Amino acid sequence: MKSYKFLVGIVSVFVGSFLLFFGNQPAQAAESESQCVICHTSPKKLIKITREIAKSNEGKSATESKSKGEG
Amino acid sequence: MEQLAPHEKLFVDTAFTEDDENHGQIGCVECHGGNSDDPNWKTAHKGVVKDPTFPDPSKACGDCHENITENNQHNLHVNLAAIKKTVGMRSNPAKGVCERVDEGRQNHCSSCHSSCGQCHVSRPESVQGGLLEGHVFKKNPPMQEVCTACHGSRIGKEYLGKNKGIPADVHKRKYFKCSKCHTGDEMHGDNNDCANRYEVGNGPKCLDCHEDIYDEKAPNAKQHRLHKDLLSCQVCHSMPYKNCYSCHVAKDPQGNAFFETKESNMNFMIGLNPLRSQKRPEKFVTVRHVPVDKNTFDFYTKNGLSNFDQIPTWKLTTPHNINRQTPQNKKCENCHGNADFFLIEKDVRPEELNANKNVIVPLSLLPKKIAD
Repeated sequence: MKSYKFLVGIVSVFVGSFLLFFGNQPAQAAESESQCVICHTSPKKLIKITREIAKSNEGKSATESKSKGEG
Repeated sequence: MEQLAPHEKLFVDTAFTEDDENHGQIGCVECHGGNSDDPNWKTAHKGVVKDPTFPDPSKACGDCHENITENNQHNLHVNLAAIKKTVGMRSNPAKGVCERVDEGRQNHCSSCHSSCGQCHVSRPESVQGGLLEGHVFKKNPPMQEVCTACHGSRIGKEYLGKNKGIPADVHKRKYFKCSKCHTGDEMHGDNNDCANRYEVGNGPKCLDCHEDIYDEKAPNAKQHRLHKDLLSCQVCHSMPYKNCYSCHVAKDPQGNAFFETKESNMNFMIGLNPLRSQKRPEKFVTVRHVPVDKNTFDFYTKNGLSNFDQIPTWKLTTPHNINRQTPQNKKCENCHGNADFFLIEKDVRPEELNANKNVIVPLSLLPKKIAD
């Protein structure tokens, strides 16, 4: 009986550790791999990219509204 | 309203991505498309949809919010049916002309639509967009960044008291946001094909809150009972509001659409109710001149609005600058025996007299002077 309880304990610890370790892996991996989240949550990266976009648009026709008066 | 910097418009807060109970559990690509594995932003954005909720929100929102998205086609913020209908009624029916007018309407008037996303996630595109609070979904859209960002000169400024010398709406002074009266049910539409906002079944009514004004013991009950069904609430309780008299649309040489409104003023006018119904039985209502004239679409075609007289240019209005005491309700003789506050023939431009014949108050219908 004593050895049976010991075996159950060992198996429980093993299964628990397995779930704890591997259960979180996919979510963490998904988060860390999403380039959308990496860029869009970083003001530094967004500033760099939006400046790049502005530079590439230099010289193109202005799209600012010429509208006058209250809409 | 101050514009956001380009990077601020795109910034996503981790408060959103980590909030599994408010859409944070949904992957970016599921709604917006693109490639979330690609570290090169140029190629990663191939196929990205900025607003996946316009024109059809059924895929992005419909799985969970079907009861709302099923009304989408009838939602006035999405289909702008009121503009389509009024331009259509004034339009010249001749082949080749009405199509040009409709092209103008689509290029200019239709750009001011909204969508699920452009109320609950970002500022509307018509005011240059930008995410609200880092993409956090807002159940109640913030008033100044969303509602009055679009409804600015004719609602926002009036409600917030930004017109010189005219106080803010009493409800604003009690810290009411738009959504206090204009509920989601009204905003999302009632699934009926409404021609204007006054037809939406679940729109607000003053009596929803002020239910006891006709009770004998209610404050000022005598006046309320005397004028019941004769005057709209705004006739006594609104202050002067913005009237615009023209709007001309065109495109610059690069093809960018723009508009120009010229004359506008602050005025207060009582006219005959053009939309008298069981729901709005009042004989007299406040009327506002809308920004249109016969030449609005001249850039697209001459004589485009040949049926200009079909509908009034002075429209039923419910201004958002309600006050308990107003210039017109201080004394009975301000209206009784006095035409100053009424839209009479001399107040209407000669070329618009015919269009407004059902709104102009004939002198014979002015309230009689009260005997001493």
